[in-house]
Order: sequence, then C-alpha cells, then structure tokens
Amino acid sequence: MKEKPLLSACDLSIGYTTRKKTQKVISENLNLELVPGELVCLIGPNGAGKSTLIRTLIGMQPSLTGDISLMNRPLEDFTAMEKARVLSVVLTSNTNISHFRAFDVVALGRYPYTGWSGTLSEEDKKIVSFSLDSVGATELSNRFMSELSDGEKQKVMIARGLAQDPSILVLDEPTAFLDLPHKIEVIRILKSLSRHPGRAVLLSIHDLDIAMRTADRIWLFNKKGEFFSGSPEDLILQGVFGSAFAMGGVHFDNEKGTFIIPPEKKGDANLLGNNGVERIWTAHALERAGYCISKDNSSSITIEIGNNSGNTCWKCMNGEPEREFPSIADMIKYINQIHENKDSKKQLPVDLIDQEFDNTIVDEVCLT
Amino acid sequence: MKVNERGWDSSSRAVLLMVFSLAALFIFFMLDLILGSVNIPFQDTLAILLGNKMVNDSWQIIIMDMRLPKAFAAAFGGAALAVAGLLMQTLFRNPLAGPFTLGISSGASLGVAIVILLVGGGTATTIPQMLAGLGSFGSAAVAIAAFAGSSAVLMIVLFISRKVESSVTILILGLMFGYAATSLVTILVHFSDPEKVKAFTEWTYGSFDIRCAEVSILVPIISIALISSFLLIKPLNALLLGEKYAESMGMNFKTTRHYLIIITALLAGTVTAFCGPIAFLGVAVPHLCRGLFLTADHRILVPGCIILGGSLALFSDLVAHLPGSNLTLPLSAVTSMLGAPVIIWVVLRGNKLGGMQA
Repeated sequence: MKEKPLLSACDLSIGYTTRKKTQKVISENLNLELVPGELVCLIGPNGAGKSTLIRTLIGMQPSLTGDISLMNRPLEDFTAMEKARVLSVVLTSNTNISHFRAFDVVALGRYPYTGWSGTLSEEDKKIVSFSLDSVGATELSNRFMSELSDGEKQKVMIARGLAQDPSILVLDEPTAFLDLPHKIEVIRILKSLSRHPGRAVLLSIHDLDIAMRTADRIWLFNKKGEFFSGSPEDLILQGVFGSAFAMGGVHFDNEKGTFIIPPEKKGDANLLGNNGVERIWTAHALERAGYCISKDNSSSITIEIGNNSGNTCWKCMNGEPEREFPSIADMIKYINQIHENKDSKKQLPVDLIDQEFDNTIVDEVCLT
Repeated sequence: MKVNERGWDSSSRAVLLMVFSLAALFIFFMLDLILGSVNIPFQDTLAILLGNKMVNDSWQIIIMDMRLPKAFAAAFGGAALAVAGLLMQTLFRNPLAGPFTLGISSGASLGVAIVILLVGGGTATTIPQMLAGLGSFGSAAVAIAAFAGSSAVLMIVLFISRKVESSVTILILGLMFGYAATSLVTILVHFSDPEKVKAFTEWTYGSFDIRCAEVSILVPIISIALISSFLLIKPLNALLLGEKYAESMGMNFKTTRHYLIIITALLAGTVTAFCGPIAFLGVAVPHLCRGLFLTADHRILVPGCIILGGSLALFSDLVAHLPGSNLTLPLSAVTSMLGAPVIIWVVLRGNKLGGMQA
C-alpha cells in the first residue's frame, strides 16, 4: 500500500516574475512527493534551483504554475498559523541573537500554539525540553545563543523547528557552516527525526557524499534545471549523478560513488607485499600522485610494502639502487622527484633557450 | 526539572529588578516634585498632593501647575521613547535604531521650524514669547506643527512599507527623509532672524516643562500606545529570529510591521510634539534593560523599558533643572550625557552576550 504523501507537487514550475511581468523559469514540470518516514536530500549545483524549490514548497515564494498540496490540501488554502503547525523550516541565515538563551529560542517554536503573550503552558515546556533532548542539546538550554558554536546553534535551531511539532521539517543547507564531524552529527539527528511516525524531513545539502550515505531519497537538479528523484543508488546507475555535476577537472566515479579530481597521469607503478590496510592506503596515495597500480606488474617503478624490524616501511625500486622509506609521504616525495628529474631533462632547457632567444631579439630591435 | 528551576530563577530576578525599578521610578517622581529652583519639603509636597489647602500658596502653584505636569510628562515621555526605541530595534534588528529612526523627529522639526521661523512673531526670543507673538494659537501651534510634520513622514513611510519587502530599505528611506527634512530646516534657519533661530533651537533641546492641558492630551495617547505595544509582545519575540523565521512560525509580517510603525509614530510623535526631540533616551534604555534583565524577551523588556525609561527621564529632568539654582540645562544634552555611557557599557560588555542585537 502506498502511503499518502505529506507534501506533493504536480506540474510545478518554479522561478521568478520580474518587474516587467516576464517570467524567469528555473525549472518546470516538477512532479514530486514527500512521504512520511523519509529523509529526502535535495542536491544540485549552485544556481540550479534548490533554494527556489524549497521556498516555493514552503509557500515563501509563489509558484509560476502547478499545484502544491500539503496534507492533501492545496497549500494556498492554509493560513500562516495552520501551515506553521504542520511545516517548520530551518533557514540558512546565521542567527545572531543577544541576551537570548537556547531554551527561549526553542520556546519560540511554540508560537503557533501559545496565546497572545506567548507564555508557555506546562505542556509547551515539556515539548520544548523534549525537542532539545531529541537533538542532544539539553545541556545547552540554559546557555546564551551568542556563547554557542555554529554546530550547537544549528542543533538549537533544529530543536526550535521540532518544537513546532511539524509533520514536515524543511531545512535549507543545515550543514553549510559546519565542520565534518558536526555535519555528520546534524545529519544523524535529522535521520533519527525522520523516523518519527508520520514525519518527513527535507533538506538541501551540498555534500553529495553525506547525502548519498543517508538519504532515503534524493531530489536532484542538474545544471539545466532538469529534476530527478530516486534512491541514491538508482540515480547513480542511471548516470544522472555524473552528468548533473560534470565540470572541467572533476568527474563522478560511478564505482566509488564519489567525485574525484583526476590528477595528471604520470604512469604506472607495481605494488607488492602486504595485502592489508597498508596496501589500500598506499594505492590511494599512489593514485593521488598520478600513478595507476599496474595489474600485471609490468611497470618500471615498483613499490614494496615491507617490514623493517617491526615497523612498516616502503621500498622503492626503479632501476636505481633500492631505497627504503619510513612513511608514505617520503616515498611519494621520492617518486615525484624521479618524475620531475625525467621531465626537466626533456623539456625545461628547450623552453629556457627559446625564451632567451626571444629576449635577445627584442633587445636588438630596441637597440636599432 | 532543570528547565523549571531556570525559569523560576530568571523570572525571580526579573521580578526583583522590576520592584527596584518601580521604587526608583517613584523616588525620582517625588524628587522631581520636591527639588527645583525652590526646594519644597517632602511633607508639604505630600500635603499639597493630597489636597491639603493649608500649605503655602505659591508652593501649591509650583507643584500643581508646574512640577506635577512636568513629572508626568517626564515619566510618560521617557517610557514612550524607550518603548518606541525597543520596537524599532527589534523590527530592524539594528542596535542603533531608535524612536526617531524613521525620520519622525526630523519631520516634527520641519513642521515646528516652519511655524516658528516663517510664521512666528517678530521679536520673540523664547518659546513663551514666541507663542505670545503667535497670539491665540498658543503652544498648540507648535504641537500641531510637530505632529503634522511627524505624521507626514509617517504617512510616506507607511505608504512605502506596503510596497517594499525589505525592512532595511525602509530604514534607509526613513534616514533619507530625515536628512531631507533636516536640510530644509537648515535652509529655513539660514534665512531667519537670530531671535527666531534661538527660539527654534531651544525647542530642539527638548523640555518636559509643559502645561496641564498638554499633559491631559499626552498621557492618554501614550497610555493607549503603550498598552497596544503589550499586545505585540509575541510577534516581537518572534522577530528576534528575523522576519523569515517569524513568518514561518505563522506571523503576518507586514501587518505586524504596520502596527509597530504606527505605535512607534504615536509614541515618538506625541512626545516630540509636546516636549521636543529628546535625544538618546530611546536608543539607550532598551540596551540598559537587556543588560540588566539579561534577556531579550519582550514580556520583560516592554514593562522594563516603561519603568526604566520613565525613571531615567525623571532623573534627567532633575539634573537638567539643577536643583537649588535658577539655571536649566538643555534636556537633550543631559539625556545624551547619561545615555552615551550606557551605549559604551553595552558595546564593551558585548562580547559575552552577543553584544548589540544585530
């Protein structure tokens, strides 16, 4: 049985109406659904329409054409208060609030439920505490917002969204200002929130890697504004991922599921010895330096992972006397030196001669 | 449990401070009646206030006709300016916003400048003389001119705010109207007689010395506006997160902004009409309140600003009248002198609590 969507859009086109009443369409013919229990990541290159779609779906910006329905009711039928009770948002804007404690900020999330003065009932207070607890920020509740780190602030803002008791939690780039561990923590929190019965979480995000590891569903815009929806794996198999972000110098590795920056190709290398974790990272380092691991050990450069009285060491053989290194960094440095020496013999002198020659001509012209 | 303790803790602090500030308000109010060019003993002041006719006749006149209206004007005027400043600082999320940010005082100045400099009687050197020169209009002419000037600015700002999304645009437009009005005033001043210019300059210093009749207009209008500002406590708190968040929580931003602008104009416009453009109180008191009560919650800040604004205005008035002498200092000079250290304190303390509100 298919679950009823919390939010759905039919033949939606998004964009702006300019002052001269002309429409600038960013994306059209969007059909999408947000069903309970899902964590949906919205990704796409900058300027592809992520923010526009989010703003349109939460009613902060009018759609150009098409219908959006929230809880099976047209979005435009909702009053602001009604909408606030089923949908809450966490925005990108960096919130700087002085003299305000985390608890008070989260308490503002009860806005659609409290009376004229915004005073909290016992029930409201419980929900606020519960929201803080859900994001693991209970110990922050008494602290001033201005004392918190970016990651802590973001948790408090998510708790505030949660205090609105929403069926849909929408976040615009919740990980934008955070370092990697905090990014992962925030996503982990969001994932657990999306498991709450009858709730869905929609977020836009730049980190494809995180999106692919956590999202139940990915909404993807490519550069042309075309829209794709599916599980991360399906989108990879359809080849949509690579084409959406393809750019000079970067390409998507369908096997690894990450973007790689192809280094300048310098040649092959044989890799011998130890088959454990050392081999994986030695291969990683060699690839980073521009060397493919030779499959039939036919290269002139050979790296062997060995053992020197209990310590791992890296031996390098390339026709010259064998060298031994205590770390990957030293080994890579050596290989790069060999490569540069080869290069400089071939190219540099020629370039230099040409340049000097040019200069002398210029000088002569000047003299005459 | 922890949360409840905290809630109790911070509200008990607020209650305690509120009681202290109320006491200060009362003390300054009484001192404002007792002290002046003639110091009247406390018992006699009390007797006169209670309607005892046995006391010295001239004291009776001084207190009932001069000092009591003045004290009321200071208490209500200070409260009005402080709350107006608070509303503007929250609306624009700008720590330097104040009651006159929207150009209200500049509009009022232009109106008064036109009346005093263009219309006013020939040889007047002070406002009372100038008013005598104006004949039957009396002080009403100045008040009406000020109110007309500030209303004109308000109408323009309100009209624009219906079309414009961004509050920063409104802030900038308000400032620009202020500059434009000030430049017109400068031109008027440039071509006017020195006597008239002096009368006008005195008006710009501000003064709570107003008459009973004026107080009976000032107090009700400000009371209504202050009560209305209590009704906006919840949207004001939501605005602390910015207008986007406030809207996402169900607030109608444009309506709220309209109410805030109208209430501010009523508060600041009324005070300016009767007491002149009193500097700095409106900017400084909200900061003082946040610093003392350690909160940005408007449920505490609005009453806090009313009480502390009134107290500070009474204190400024006391200082301006230099008790025991016949001299009077310009009120705006005193309020600025008291207000500047507050702002400096806020800026220096800023690091810990996030400082200014922006």
